[in-house]
This record gives sequence, C-alpha cells and structure tokens, in this order.
Amino acid sequence: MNTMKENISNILLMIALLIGILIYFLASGFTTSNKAIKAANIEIAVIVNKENPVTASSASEIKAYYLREKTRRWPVINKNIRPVANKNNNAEQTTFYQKVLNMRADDVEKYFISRQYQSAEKPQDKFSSDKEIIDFVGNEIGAIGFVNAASLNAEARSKVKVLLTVN
Amino acid sequence: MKKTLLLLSISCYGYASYSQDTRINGFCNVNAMAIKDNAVIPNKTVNNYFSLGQYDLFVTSQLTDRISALGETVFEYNPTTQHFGIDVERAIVNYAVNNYFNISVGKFHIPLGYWNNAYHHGMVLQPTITRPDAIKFEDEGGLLPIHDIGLQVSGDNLGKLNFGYNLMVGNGIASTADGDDNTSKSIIANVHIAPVQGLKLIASSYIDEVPSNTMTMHMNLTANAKATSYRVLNGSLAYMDGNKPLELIAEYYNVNTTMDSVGSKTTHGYLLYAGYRIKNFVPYVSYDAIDYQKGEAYFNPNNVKTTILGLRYSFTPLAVVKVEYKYHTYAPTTTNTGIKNSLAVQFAFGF
Repeated sequence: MNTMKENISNILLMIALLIGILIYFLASGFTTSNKAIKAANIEIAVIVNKENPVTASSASEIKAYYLREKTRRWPVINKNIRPVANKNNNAEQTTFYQKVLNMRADDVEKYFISRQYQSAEKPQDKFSSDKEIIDFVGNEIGAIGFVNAASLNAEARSKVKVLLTVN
Repeated sequence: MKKTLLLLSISCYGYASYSQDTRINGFCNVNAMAIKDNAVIPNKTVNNYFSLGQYDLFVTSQLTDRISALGETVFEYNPTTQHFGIDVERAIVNYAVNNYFNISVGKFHIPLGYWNNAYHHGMVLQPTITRPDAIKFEDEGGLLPIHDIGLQVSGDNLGKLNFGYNLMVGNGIASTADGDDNTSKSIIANVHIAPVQGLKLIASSYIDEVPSNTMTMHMNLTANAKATSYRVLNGSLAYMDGNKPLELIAEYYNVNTTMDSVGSKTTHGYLLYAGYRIKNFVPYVSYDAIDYQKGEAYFNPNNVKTTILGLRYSFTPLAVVKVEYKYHTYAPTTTNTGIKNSLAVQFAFGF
C-alpha cells in the first residue's frame, strides 16, 4: 500500500515538474534556430537542369520532387533527385520552405537527416550563393534548387530551366 | 610521361571527389538517472548516476548515381569487460535500379515493424530516451533479432496508396558476422502503405530456425533441444508527419517459438507512443509490455510493463533534451517488489 502511495506521489511530482518546465520555457519565449526569418517580398525561382524534361509547375509537385516523397529518381531521365539549398537560412530559403514546402527550416533539416539515417539517402547539397547553386544545377542533371529570380541572368538561363516562380 | 601520369591522377582525383560524396556524422547522448529499484540494491533502493550512451559513428556515401553506402559503428561501454566495445551495427550498400526496385546487401536493422527501421542507434532522432522493451537490441534482452546480414530488395510509393515492400534473406538468429551455423536462412517480409502524408501502416513477418545447442544472438542456449522454429508476426501503425503536431506509434509483435521439449509458445509484445508538438516541445506518453506464455523456454520469461511520461525539447534537430519519468514493473521475487521508478534526463546530439 505504501509502495502504491509512493508511486502515485512520484507520478504527481513528475507531472508537476514537467508542467513547470513547460510553462517556464513557454513563458520565457525560449526560441532556437527555428526563429522565423520572415519571407521578404522577393521573387524566387525554382530551377532544374536544362536537360531535365520534367514539367512540374505546381508547388505540391515541386515539393514532392524536392523532398523525394513520391519518387527518388526523376522520370524519363531516371537520375537521382538531388535537392539543393543554401548554407544559410536566408530570405530565399525561407520563402521556398514556407511557400513551396510549407515547412519550418528545422523540420526540413530533420526530414533530410532522418532519410539519410534510415536509408543512406543523400541529404541536400548546400551552397553559399545563388551563383554556386546555378553552377551546380547547371552541371548536375538531377539537381533541383531555388535562387532569387534576379540572379537568373542570360548566362544562367542557358544552363538551367525555371519550373516555378514564387513571391 | 611523368607529366601525363600527373595529369591523369589529377583528373582521376577530380572525378572521384565529384562523383563520390561521403558524409561523416556522429551521434551521442549523455544521461542522468535517478532510479528506485528494489532489485538492484536491496538495502539501499535509490541509485543515481550519470552515464554515457552509445557513441555512434555514422557514415553515408553516394558512390555513383545509383549506388549508395551506409555504415554505422557504435562504441559502447560494456560493464562486463569494463571497456568500450566496438560493434558494426549497420553496413549496407544499395543499388537503386529504379523508383520501385532497390537491391541492398550488408548488415541491416531488419525490416520488421516501424520503430526498428525509423530509429537506430543515434538517440537524438528517437522520440524516447530508450527503446521500448519489445524492440530492445538482442544483447539487451530484446525479443527480436534486430540485426541481420543478408540481401534485401525493396520499393516504395507504388500506386495511390503508396504501397511499399521489403523482402530480405539473411543468416538469421544462429549466426555471426562471418557465418551461419545452419543452412536455413531467415526470411523477412514487410509490406506497407502510406495512404496519407505521414501515416504508415505496416504488416511484417520473420521466419527462422535455430539448430540445437547453438548460442544465438539472443544469448540463449537452446541446449538439449532439437531445432527451434522462431516466427514473428507484426502489425504497426505510425503517424509521424514532421509537419503536424501529433505523433503516434502503435506496434504489436507476436513471437512464436516451437521447441520439441515444450512445444509451441507465443509471446506478445506491445508498444504505444503518443506525443504532441507545441513549438519545440513535445510532451509524450508511452506504454510498452511483453507478455510471455507460461512455459516459454527459448527466452528467459519475465513479463514487463513500462509506462513513460516525458517531455522533449529540440534546440535544433540535432540537439535534443528529454526528461522522463518511467514506471516499470517486472516479475516480483522474494527480494523485490518488481517495481522500478526512475527519473531520467538525456541530452542527445548529433554532429
């Protein structure tokens, strides 16, 4: 009987402790890297290699390819889908995550880490600038990425194809 | 000639470094525990300590457009030898034929149920501090043959229901890293559907035979017994959509062993996990149990039940702290009540 009472009191103590911790963190507004970078009023372009015949144009189709949800290889060319991202969580990335993937930056990160951990799937290739992303997508037939639409000059457009623009 | 060789070696290096993309990651966790267990120290039933969890070296490599590899090596303290032991937990090479057909060989976490393939040795990705009893690792007294060496074919996302399959042939229970004691191989089959985003329904099975007088990976000796047949049936449901707040995992394992000495015995393993994300917090509850049939002789039958109340906080996806209260019951004896209470904090991280 005493053991039962001790157990109940332990459980109640734990519940109180957990609620206390929860309230503390919520009240103190404890935030992390999920801190929202508001999508600035910019236009981004979702790009693939010029040789990729894919014609996806809706956000949901692009999300399915980028996250390799429905397919891990591109149709027709049968090449590995290689999602590309920025090393830093900049305004272009925030716009893409929010408006195309409809996900938080941490959730995207966790998604790719989990896939890598479960089945050796290659996570995103990350670059520091739009130019590096355009160069990579232009050279890698399976790549899909996003850049500021203003970065797509004539030379860039000769290497990559725009699937969708978002602002 | 030298110049030609130099140019050739540079071009070869350039090609290799471009096509083979290798990533080296690591996972580890540090725990703080306070345990009240009448069985551990009968006259002093409270114990508290810090502990270092598994140190997990995780390597993946995209060798070519179609071939990828994964290696997971764990360094873990062994209280018996009082030294860190090294164990290759997974070593897999995969060839992607197309979207619906992959061939893999190596050492796997077998495709049985949900948890065993979603969470491996890196605790930072696992929702609770420890694995549920029903799916504990073999060398920790688990019911299932978690690891196996063999060949697997798999595919996903077929049709509107996103049907998927895994079929594996492996050495099975009575085997080591370099051989198998019998000609009978383990057969593992897993079929699953994902009708909506984040929801996965799984049915899987495992069939194997264990020859007599063989030390199995469960650390049991099937002494004086003729061949033991070992069979697992599983049904799992998981709703783990990272974009939604609700997290839910429910699994059932039906483990049947047949020995000439005691006949057919069935053990039931259950686990239920539910969490709800509020910003970076996930309060969660979990219940798991193992219920052995009377007379079970293959395992050391000790019915266990565990209830967990916990809270998880993610600083980032690779830095997570978990706080848990665990109420664990097991078969009482004359020297203990069969009840263990514990409070644990785990800081799990990846790098």
